[in-house]
Amino acid sequence: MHFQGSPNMAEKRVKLISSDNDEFEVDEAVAFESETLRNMIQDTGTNVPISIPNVSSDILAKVLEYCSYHAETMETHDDKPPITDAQIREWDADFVDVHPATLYSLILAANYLNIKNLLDLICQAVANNIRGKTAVEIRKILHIQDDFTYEEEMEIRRETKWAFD
Amino acid sequence: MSEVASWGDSPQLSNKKGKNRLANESTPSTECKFNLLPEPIIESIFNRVEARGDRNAMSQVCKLWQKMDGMTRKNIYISNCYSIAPSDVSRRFKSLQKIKIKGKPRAYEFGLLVERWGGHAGPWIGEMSRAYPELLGLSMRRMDVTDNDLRILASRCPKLQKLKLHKCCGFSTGGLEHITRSCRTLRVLDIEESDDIEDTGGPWLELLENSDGRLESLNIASAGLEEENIKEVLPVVGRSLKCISSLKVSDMELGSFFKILDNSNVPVVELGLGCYCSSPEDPKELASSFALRLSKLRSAVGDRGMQVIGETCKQLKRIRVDQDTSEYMTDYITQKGMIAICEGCRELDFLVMYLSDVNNEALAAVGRCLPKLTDFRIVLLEVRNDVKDLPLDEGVRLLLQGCPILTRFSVYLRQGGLSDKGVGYIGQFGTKLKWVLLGCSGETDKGLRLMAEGCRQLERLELRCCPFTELQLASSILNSWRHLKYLWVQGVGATSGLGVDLVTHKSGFLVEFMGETQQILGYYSATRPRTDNPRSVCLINYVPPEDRPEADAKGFQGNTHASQGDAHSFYSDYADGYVRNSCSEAEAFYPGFNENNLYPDADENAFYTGVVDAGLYLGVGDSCGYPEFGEDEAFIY
Repeated sequence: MHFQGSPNMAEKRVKLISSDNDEFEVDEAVAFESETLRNMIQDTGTNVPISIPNVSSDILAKVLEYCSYHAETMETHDDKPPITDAQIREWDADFVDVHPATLYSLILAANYLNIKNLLDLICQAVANNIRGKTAVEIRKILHIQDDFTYEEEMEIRRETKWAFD
Repeated sequence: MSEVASWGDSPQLSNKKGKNRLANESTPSTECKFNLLPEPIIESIFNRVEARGDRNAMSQVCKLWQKMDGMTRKNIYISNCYSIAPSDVSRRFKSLQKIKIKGKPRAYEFGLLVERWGGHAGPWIGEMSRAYPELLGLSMRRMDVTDNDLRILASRCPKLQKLKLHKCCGFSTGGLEHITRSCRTLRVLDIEESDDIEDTGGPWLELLENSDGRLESLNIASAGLEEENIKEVLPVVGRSLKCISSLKVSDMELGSFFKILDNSNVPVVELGLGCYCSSPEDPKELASSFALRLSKLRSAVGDRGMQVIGETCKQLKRIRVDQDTSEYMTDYITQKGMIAICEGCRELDFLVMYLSDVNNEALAAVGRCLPKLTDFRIVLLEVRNDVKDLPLDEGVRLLLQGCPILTRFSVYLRQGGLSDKGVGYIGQFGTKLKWVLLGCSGETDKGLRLMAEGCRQLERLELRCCPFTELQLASSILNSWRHLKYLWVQGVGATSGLGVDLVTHKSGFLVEFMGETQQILGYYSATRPRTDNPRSVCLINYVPPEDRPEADAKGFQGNTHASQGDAHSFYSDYADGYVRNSCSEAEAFYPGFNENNLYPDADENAFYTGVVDAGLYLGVGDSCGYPEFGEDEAFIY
């Protein structure tokens, strides 16, 4: 799989290997969106493929799609109008418009790869989707096990409803 | 962002966008467990959700989320200071920054509450200032605040930016001096309508000059203050207030008032003068000079003022016209002013008015013009005898039909203000109402019954001088209003018997019975009943049989009859589980002190006709309880 984040052929290319052994090749600028990859590249250079053992290829592809887009928004082209903030926001909103399970994997990947903007974006998306939901609905959509005992649950429900509602 | 249906209940709709979706994402992985995420990430998600309702839901998801909510919640609002102990709040929440607490029931505002009812700020300020030295904001409403409380707050929370003491009492300018001296980064100081404030002099206002100069809002429209002193000091202090955007004082010439605001570098968004009725031009000048977001006026402005606002402030969202009891008061608002506001300010979502006259046409105008209204309250003042257009039944119907998102509805009228039919309309057309306050409304129990059949979402009910009996109240509350959390009744139905019945059948519900003034107040409490009530307030709460001392338990076997004369001994011998006025000193827990250990005088209107298991029937006269209850699941033993 090849990602052409930037048409600039003078850029160095970086090879990345996902947990299921798929190889990805991206521009250095794209990889640099990740703090973790930046540190690795600065340590070992771009000659050796970098293996990312805890991110699967489908998630890594998503992450790199994000990184390429955002690396591109940083560049200025004489022939194209610059990408506006509104366009970026729209692209981002579209990007996180996915199933909670995918968001969950993306969070772990963004956290491991240390891509702060992506992590913020996803946390915001999760927060947006929690709003207006009941505890039961949140558990359902986020697959969270209810680990309260009956007594504990009654107590927190009473306290919340009677004092903080 | 487009709606992602997979977050909701209908997954079949989920692929409407699709381009970012992965092939295998339709089946959520069992590995998707958001509570297993690293805590900093959960914290980051939590910090992005602030609304109280959302936080409440999140805290009930699982243990970890409860803990994370406790660690990250910044704001809380406690609508009743006796519903939870301050130490339980600080145990659950570790980093609160803004706290809002309400104390006394609204009856206090109308002078109806017994003397020294309670609502002491001391235990709250003590614990909150200890637990949250970084506290940024404290708002209290209808609470008793002492100068010492303010001293403690100022010394422990020097970073305090916002202090609001609305309708509070018990403090003086000496207490405020602690705040203005120590809290140098104050942004909001608001003591509006804390009318009992004692002006003991001192440089409390002058000290604002030593602050960082970024005060944004100063509201000292409070009757207890020496107006001459304020008129003298404020213009001087005003020179250093470069960020002031909201200023309210009781009485000041417009000229000096504007001079203070002229110093400010920021646009004024809110202003208020307690009373201005000197010339007909004043309201016009005010209305046109400022973009009034929240207009809070005294009724001295009259119908003419309402017309000006209606013509000028087309975007007004909230209007509140309070009663003015000052001697200058001459110009009341009537239906004319109300109609002018409705026809002019179509964006209103909040309308509160004290009127001297009102008619069905005015209420119909609300329904016709204000589809965005969520909160409607009127009080018909007792100043005129020629209010003609009563009852307001049809007006209420048209209002409720025209305001589909109305959740709070309050009409305080006079004898004959609403017939049973009108009260029934509240049930029929106000099915979404959560707060209802009725004064002098209805004719018989039929009205309340009809209302109860409709408003099933009711959470808060206040009734004053309505003719509803305790039987009908108990029946409606227990059978229809399952969500009711707060109850205040003054009048014939407010008996200790109703109190006993409610606490017996609503687990966690607590009733305060004030026989002298024929009032009851009921609310849920997650902590033990308060112990700071005066003798005139009798607390009624339910203690399950297994928690009772043995001596008390024996009274609950078989039928017990008590005549009127025996009611007092019944209380003392058997009903400690239900009726508690006080506790011994050894038990003295929150909120602190207890003045006496006496049982109250029993309510002479009520006595018990029978005890069945732990459930207690109660009735007036010889009847044996409520026939309706037997068939209803709300009757819980």
